[in-house]
Amino acid sequence: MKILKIAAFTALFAILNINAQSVRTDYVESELISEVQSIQPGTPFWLALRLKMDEHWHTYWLNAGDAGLQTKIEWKLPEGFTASKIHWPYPEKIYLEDLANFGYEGEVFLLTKITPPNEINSKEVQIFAEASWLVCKIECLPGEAEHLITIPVKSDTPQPIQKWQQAFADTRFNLPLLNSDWKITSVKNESGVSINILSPDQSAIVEKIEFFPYEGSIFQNAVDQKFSKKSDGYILTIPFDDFKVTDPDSLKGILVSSYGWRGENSEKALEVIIPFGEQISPGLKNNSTIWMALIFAFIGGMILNLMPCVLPVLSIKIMGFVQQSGEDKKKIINHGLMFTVGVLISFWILAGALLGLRAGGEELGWGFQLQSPAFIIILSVFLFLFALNLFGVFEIGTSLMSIGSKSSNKSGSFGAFMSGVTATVVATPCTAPFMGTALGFAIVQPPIVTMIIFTSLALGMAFPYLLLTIFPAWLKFLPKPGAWMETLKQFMGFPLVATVIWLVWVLGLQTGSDGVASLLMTLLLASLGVWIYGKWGTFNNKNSVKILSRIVTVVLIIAGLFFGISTTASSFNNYNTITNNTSGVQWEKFSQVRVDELRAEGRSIFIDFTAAWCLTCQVNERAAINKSEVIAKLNEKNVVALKADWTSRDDEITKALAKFGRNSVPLYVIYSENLSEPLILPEILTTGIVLEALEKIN
Amino acid sequence: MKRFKLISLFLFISLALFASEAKVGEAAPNFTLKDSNGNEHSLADFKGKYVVLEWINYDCPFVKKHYESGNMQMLQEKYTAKDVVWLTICSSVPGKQGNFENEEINKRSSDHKAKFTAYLIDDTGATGKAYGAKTTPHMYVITPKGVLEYAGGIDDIPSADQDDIAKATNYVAKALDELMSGKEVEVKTSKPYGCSVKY
Repeated sequence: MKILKIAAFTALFAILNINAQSVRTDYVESELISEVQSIQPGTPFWLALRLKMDEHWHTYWLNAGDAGLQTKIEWKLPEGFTASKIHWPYPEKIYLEDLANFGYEGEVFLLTKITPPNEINSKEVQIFAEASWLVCKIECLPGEAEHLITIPVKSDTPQPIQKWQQAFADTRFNLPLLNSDWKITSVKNESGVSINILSPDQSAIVEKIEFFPYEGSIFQNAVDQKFSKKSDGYILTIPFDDFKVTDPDSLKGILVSSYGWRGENSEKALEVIIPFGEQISPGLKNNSTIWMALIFAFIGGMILNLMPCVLPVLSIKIMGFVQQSGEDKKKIINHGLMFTVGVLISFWILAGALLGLRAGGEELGWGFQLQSPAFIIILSVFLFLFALNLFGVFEIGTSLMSIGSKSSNKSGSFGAFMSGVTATVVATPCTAPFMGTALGFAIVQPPIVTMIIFTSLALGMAFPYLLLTIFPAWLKFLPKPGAWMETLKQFMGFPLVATVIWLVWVLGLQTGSDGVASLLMTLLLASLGVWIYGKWGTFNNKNSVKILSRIVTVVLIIAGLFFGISTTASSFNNYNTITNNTSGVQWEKFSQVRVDELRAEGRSIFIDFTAAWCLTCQVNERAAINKSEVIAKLNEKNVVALKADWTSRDDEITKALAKFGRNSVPLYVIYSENLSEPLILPEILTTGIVLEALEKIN
Repeated sequence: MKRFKLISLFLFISLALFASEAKVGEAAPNFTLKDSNGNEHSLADFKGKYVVLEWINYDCPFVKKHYESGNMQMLQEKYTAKDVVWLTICSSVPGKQGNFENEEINKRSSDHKAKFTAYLIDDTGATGKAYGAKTTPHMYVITPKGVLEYAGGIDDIPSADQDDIAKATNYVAKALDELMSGKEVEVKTSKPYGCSVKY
């Protein structure tokens, strides 16, 4: 039947060729037009249904609003051809007394992308489209028209048809963007939703933003959406329809801004598909969000102690516990408090730096310090010297063996404070479960809220330690101090060296072997410095020798750091940072363009947001992703695996993370045509979780 | 600050005006309207019976879809036979499409062999707004206790094509059948489709 119908039309319009005729029906002139003069096998091309309405008449968008009906196109394509859904330019709001519709007046081009097969045996192809619409002024009339176009097939690159070039360009400009620099979050309550729109550009003067939902009968269409300005952006409030047909769990539609989403007079429409309050956790309500974020931050902070990157610090802390178990209660509590203060101050500095840099327009996230080679060098030196100290190469005043000596009260406090600082510094590459969402939320909040959330995180991290110092009785399970402590102390130097090796590897990915050599040189100079200090700088030497050796030590360490940082700075950023540590999965480099492209093609995508300095990411890749079952499943489901490597600064990846309300890695996202929303996997993966998620896609 | 308060107040008032009084699961707002023969009817008169409200505009293609196919009359006949009160309401204000003289209404209704209980004239639009009626048709089902149990489209295929009626699930019939057999209404709201009500 289909074939018969096509055949009949082929006969009828055989003379028409590519300039298909426009059809005039009640109040509408319609036409099917091609963007290109000819098509090339395997190369997608665009067709447009052109509808020109009589004055004051309108047709409808995909969501018609209070009344009306979306325009539909039914395609009859040659074998092997596929057609996309309609790419709708953004609509206008058409008020009819107390009702509002979403549609188009004047002329509109509804774009469809057609993908031909890789081989076409005929010299020309015919495409048949049956379009139907509802056209209304106040009264409404359904309309339909059948269109057929014949397009030649050529092997050369398709050339555009000049007559329609501008129309296609203008229409594309009015299609919703899929992402922008603006940060958009949304919260749902009983009566409606509010959308938070954070401007990346303080000079943007937005007069109006309107939301057009993809689905009808959820929001009231005719009310003026309450639009107001706040210090760093805008808020839009939209009430629910009294008879809303579903209780949505995400905001889906487009935001139309008078200003443009990529700068003044740029594209006006932006697609938003964001789960409500995703930045906290699904199911949280607006008023409790900050409290929940605080609780999550606290729990996240506690769990942080167990993360692989904090393990070396745990060893330092165990030493501390052992040391304290011989001391009196007051001192122990004091140590616990000092540790907490150390963690707190470090987190505040971190939050302050993050806020300061973000205010300066930088795209940064959690763990951002490790994207800086200078930071890695300083951290490596710090940890390496700590290890040498444990090995006994040198002793400083706060020696772990000076238990009971009079000065130890004061310096012990300082030691506890410093171990708090250390714990925080090395914890930064880790995102524990709960923490990702809390931090993601923190980052889009006003500075004061951000600081409070970071404080909660710090308290969470210090909490178990503080608890043990308040109830030192719980420490009795630890063995009594003795000579074995010296052995343990020396042994604890090795996990620290292991951490340094890992940092060297991270730096190697950022800067290549030159950077590694520089860092090792820095470590050599610094270790030489402390060796000199250990040999000649301690109290049993003559004063002059002592002072001279201390000066030499400081000079050597500073010179080493200076050398390392200055030489790596030049090799940074020119280096390819793709981490090639996973053979097996065929990774492609992530880019938003590639994602959009693949989604348009209807392919499924698995995105791995990772970084070399993120240990959780590395463990996940090795233990859960890079498994033969997973690779087989990826191939079976024809999934494209994209790796978003955040080891070095990458604004595009930072933005992509922000789209999911995150600013940290790991993040695992699966897109598939049969999923209405991208699937987000947990931060800690198992092969089972990955396979189960992949099972959900076509 | 003062200005902000004023604007908020204004927004609040306009929201309140737009918001309909009718809510699914709550008592249906009462109304008193004249029918096309000049007789008055109140919703309250029909306590103890199921009531269907149908918003109409004979010139709307979506209303035509259901009347020219005989679908609407079939529903009216089937359920009025089961003692359901079927009130067809027109909220087109004077001068707008669908607002007719009584004579014209009765002529069209008998031409269509309509089987509703009464055709009510809401030419101020007040009842339509109280129910949040947006389209023609827009359907409501009220229980004998006066509770609104369904609001939305007549069925689940929004089109003006008569061929779709047979394929569609009719939400009004479904809600009535479920209520009459003592079940909970499964689909209590749906997106109404059609022409806009001509307020």
